[in-house]
Amino acid sequence: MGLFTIIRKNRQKEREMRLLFLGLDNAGKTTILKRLNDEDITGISPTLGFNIKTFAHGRYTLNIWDIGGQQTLRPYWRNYFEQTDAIIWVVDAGDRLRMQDCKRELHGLLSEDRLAGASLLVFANKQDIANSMTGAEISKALDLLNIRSHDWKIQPCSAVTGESILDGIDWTVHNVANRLYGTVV
Amino acid sequence: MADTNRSLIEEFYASFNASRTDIASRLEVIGTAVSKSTEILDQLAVDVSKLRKELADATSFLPSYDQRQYELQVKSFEHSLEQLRVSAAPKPKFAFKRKAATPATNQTVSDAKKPGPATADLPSTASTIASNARALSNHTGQYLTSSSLPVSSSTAGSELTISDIDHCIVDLVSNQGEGSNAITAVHVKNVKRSVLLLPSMSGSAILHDVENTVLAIGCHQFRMHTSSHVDVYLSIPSNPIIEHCTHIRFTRYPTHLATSDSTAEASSTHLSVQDFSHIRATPSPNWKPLPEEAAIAEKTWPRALLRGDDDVESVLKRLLPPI
Repeated sequence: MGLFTIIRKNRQKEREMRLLFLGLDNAGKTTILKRLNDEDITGISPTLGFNIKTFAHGRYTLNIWDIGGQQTLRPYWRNYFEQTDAIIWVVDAGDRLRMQDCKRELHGLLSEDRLAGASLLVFANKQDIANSMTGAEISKALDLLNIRSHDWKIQPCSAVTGESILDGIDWTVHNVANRLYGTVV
Repeated sequence: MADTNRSLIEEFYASFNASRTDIASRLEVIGTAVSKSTEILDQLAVDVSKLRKELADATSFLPSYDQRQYELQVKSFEHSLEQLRVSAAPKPKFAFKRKAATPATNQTVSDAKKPGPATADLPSTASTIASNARALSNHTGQYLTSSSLPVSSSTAGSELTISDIDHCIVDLVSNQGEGSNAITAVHVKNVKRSVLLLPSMSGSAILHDVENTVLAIGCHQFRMHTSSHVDVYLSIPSNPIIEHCTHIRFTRYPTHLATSDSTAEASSTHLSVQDFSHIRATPSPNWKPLPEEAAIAEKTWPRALLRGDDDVESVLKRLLPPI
């Protein structure tokens, strides 16, 4: 029995997935997480450190790690890379000024060995705000079309209204399940 | 690899426990003491932040459950330390005077006269991805109000970008459009020697490269980066964040500018500033509360300014924070 088989068996038993929420500060990572968990989103302070949430989604248990996005904290992101099944990259769709930063940080992540193979979901958050960039505009700005190393999808959404958040998580879980277990949810 | 990890985990457990017992007993001692010496508190703060750093360094090998437990422990230390600090030096209380909310001016909304999006006259910065963004940018030495803004074509709230402003007074509070032009979030970049007077908004504010400026804003979250010498008049329900900033002073949002929701103003946490460049329990050297006597008195706010012979330059000279 090869190592991969062991890992696969072990995973199958647990049916756990580890999702990493990353993105620039002010993207809305914590708000999306709280919205997923049906928690109050009105009093959220910018994240100093990280939040962990575990909840069931279909047949799977999702361990979601939400890591603060302030510049000072970004060097610590790598502490959380190990065994990540999917990266949820959250973008503030109104933040035109920092799309370059956003693109640089994202592509930096994708070149990390320890994240190789992880699925990538890009949430184009804050669609409730009138003049936010669309999914297509963000795909272009972040140069998503040139990503070959990871399965990816962009999902416009709104953490405030809850719109399309579950759709994004569904895609992620499907994609990871396919890869890890060879099964669909 | 499993073995090295295990020994690392055990080693960490032992050292964490030693520090924990030590800190806990010291916290207890000082907790019961009548006078709390700030020196002892400072030392404790240093030790707690050391512990936090060790934990951060250990995240690569600690199992997630353990990490969470350690994290909770460190958090609880930080919390008790904060409480001790508060009780050692009671903050001066301030009271809000409830004023009858002044009706939001009787002038007809002047920006309603512009039909359609008026983006044509807006030079867009090279770094900005323009599209249909609402923006106020590239102005020097001017008095700008809501009528300088392109009208949002949508009825929903919208996001506003303010960039490359120098020597200006921006007043988006007077003459505020109803509903259709409400601002939900703001991005600010490169503003120098200016006064920015912004309304309360439901979303967040994020600012970069602001220098020698007075800023008034009400928002859900506030983040300021790479800025210096800014006086911030803020109403906020979460912790304001600064990062790579110096000489920032915070105080409450001018009460007479608050349009609605005065309860939210009253519970504002504008002094719970977190400095991400100074992640430890000691007070950050990069910001302080704006002393009452240095704050701009309500009636001198730019809202009432420039009605007389005042020019932008002399108003700025009077209001900008000292460098």
